[in-house]
Amino acid sequence: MTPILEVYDLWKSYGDIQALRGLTLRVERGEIFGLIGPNGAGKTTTLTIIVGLLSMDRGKIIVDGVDIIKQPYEYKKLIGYVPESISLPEYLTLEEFLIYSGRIRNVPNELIRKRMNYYLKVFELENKRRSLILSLSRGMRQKAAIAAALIHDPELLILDEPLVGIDPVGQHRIKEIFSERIKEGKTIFISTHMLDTAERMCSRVAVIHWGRIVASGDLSTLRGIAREGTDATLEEVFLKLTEESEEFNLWKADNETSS
Amino acid sequence: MRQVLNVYLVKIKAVLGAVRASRINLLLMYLYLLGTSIGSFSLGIGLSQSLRFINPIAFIDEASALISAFLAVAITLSFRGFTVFDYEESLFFTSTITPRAFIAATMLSDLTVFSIFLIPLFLTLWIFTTMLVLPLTIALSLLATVILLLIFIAFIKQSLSILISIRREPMLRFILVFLIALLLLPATSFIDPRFPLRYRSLPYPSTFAAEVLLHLLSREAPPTTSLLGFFLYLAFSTTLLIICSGRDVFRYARPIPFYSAFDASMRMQTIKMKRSISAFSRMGMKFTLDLKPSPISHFLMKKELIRMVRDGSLFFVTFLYAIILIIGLVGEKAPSAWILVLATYSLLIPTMLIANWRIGEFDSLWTLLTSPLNLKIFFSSLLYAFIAVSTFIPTVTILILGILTRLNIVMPLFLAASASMIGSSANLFVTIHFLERKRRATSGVIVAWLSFLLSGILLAPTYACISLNLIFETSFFTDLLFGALILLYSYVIFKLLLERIEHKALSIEI
Repeated sequence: MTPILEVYDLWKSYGDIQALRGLTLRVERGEIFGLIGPNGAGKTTTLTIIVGLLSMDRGKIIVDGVDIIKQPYEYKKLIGYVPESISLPEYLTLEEFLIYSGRIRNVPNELIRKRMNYYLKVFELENKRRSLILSLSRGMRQKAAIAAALIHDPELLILDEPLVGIDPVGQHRIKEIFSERIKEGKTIFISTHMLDTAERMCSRVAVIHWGRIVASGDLSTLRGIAREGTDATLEEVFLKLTEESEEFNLWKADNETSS
Repeated sequence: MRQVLNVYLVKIKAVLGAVRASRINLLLMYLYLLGTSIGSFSLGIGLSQSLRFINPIAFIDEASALISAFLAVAITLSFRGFTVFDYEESLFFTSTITPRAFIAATMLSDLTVFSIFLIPLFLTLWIFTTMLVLPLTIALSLLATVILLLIFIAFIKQSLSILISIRREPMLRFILVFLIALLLLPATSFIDPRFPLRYRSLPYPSTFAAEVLLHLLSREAPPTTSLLGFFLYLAFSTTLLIICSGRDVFRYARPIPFYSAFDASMRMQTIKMKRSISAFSRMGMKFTLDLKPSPISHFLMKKELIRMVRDGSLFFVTFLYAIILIIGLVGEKAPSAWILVLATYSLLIPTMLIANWRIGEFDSLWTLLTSPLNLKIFFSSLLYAFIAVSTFIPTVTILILGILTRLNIVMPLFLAASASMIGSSANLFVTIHFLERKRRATSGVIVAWLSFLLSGILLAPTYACISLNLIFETSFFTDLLFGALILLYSYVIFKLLLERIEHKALSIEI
């Protein structure tokens, strides 16, 4: 079976700043894959390039066998995306926004209605369906964005810091939805710096540091790479891996010299 | 003093940051300085030439009315209360900086920033003194009086803002409204000379200031009473500010979400748009986006129309054209020329609509760009919605004017349709061009101006056709033929630009 997502030698710079330096990763079907890394490591850049909101300098991205450069519309049928900082059309009501999200993804009206009602119920947003998005709280908007990303039942759901700003009940519901999707053979790709979340939710993780993957695999594999004991937490493994990173040491040495 | 200096520097840097966000903003600033310098130069020469033949002291009422108007504006602005920028609240109010130091730094930075806008005033003054060959002592006295007058107005504005924030009772506002009315009341004598009150007979600060300024211009020593009166008012405003700034004003401050008075960033515009949506959305809630079966292009057009209703765009455009219609009906200008002007300026509608689309939609554009919807379908629907609105409103206005004035409106109608089609496509093309990452900080004014320029160039053949039609006073059927050609040309431009828009939209980065 082909992987749902393959990223090869991805490079991206913002002026003089090199955000991604040859990033390569594979996400298999039916798993929750976590991209973890410190602030500024390149997590959001990676995700926004995959979903088509940012251009790459070099590299190749294949989603379910489709090259995203060659077929910029085709692969988007397969993905649902929730960004970290969510901005929605404020002038629409919650219901209208979900209808709009479904229609632009070519979902039949009946399915839109069914899924919309389901997610509004799951996220306890039924009483807000006719409220303008302008009047919704940050957590509610986050839930609305997740519902919109699921309205076309995507094969690959890509989420950037999905649980930030959501109340505990909402977080629990989202985790339940993720589990259901995995049972259905769908894939979830999340980016986070909340290591406890990644440890509990993800079947495999990749550690990104300075625009490059420094290790990837399940927790036991990462423990092996980091030469940590079997009881080491993801946080301990992560700290070890990022501190051992050659660039980090160089940067640290530079800083120490200059100070 | 160090506190004042530190706050002052931070505030100046915040203003410079907003101005330097785009090179084009700097260019706008230079253009402004160049334009106003030329204007001031001409005004200075013109006024100084006039002053050779008239006695300035005869214009005390007029000068006093002008100063009173400035003072009235300052008092009106104080109704907003003591406002601070968002970042100031979190940065300074939680530090050891005292309210008085903060206010002093604020006034100093305001004076520095606004001095750019006062350049024309000082330039006019300089040309005045040079052309009238005024002695240096008089020139310096004039300059000092102008600066003291500005300080007086600034002190009054700041003190009243603080008072409004601290004392929320309506009586204070009522007193201020009464003060404004008192200040402006003698101006009634300009409309009706029988009105008994004149500025020159009233002890207003504006009268004293005007008397001092005009006597200096006439090379005469200002009357002692005027000088004394002016300095008493200045002393009063200084005392008032010292008392007001001694209060713990930080607790009463109202934060505004900008970085500076010149903050034209998308963030600031988005905040304004949110306010507009909360104000207008109620009237647009009966018209909703639902699951009734319809082609996707119709659905998207409907969504855009809903946006225009709920963010107030449609209201403003209709309001503008209602005013134009009234002017056209009651004005003395030739109605036929007015109809033509109206049709030509229907370009304004797409500019307004698309500027609002840019502000309201850019941040949420990720929902569309991550969907498999072909961008050509989206942008053509968007353009059709813009064209529908920007054709419909001028058409109705022209029809009403045409019916009431019994004029031939065939060509104005074609002109309005062409201006709408080409204007919408050109505006959207330029807007999308400036959504690219490197160009995004460009001021909305420049984007609108370039859109206008491109629309104007592309509309040249339409204008040529209309001109020929006017010159040769063609028959109705020839008008129709010309009109059909204009529409065909406009459609070709629309299609060509739509292709370019889709291509450009694919490279939008968020």
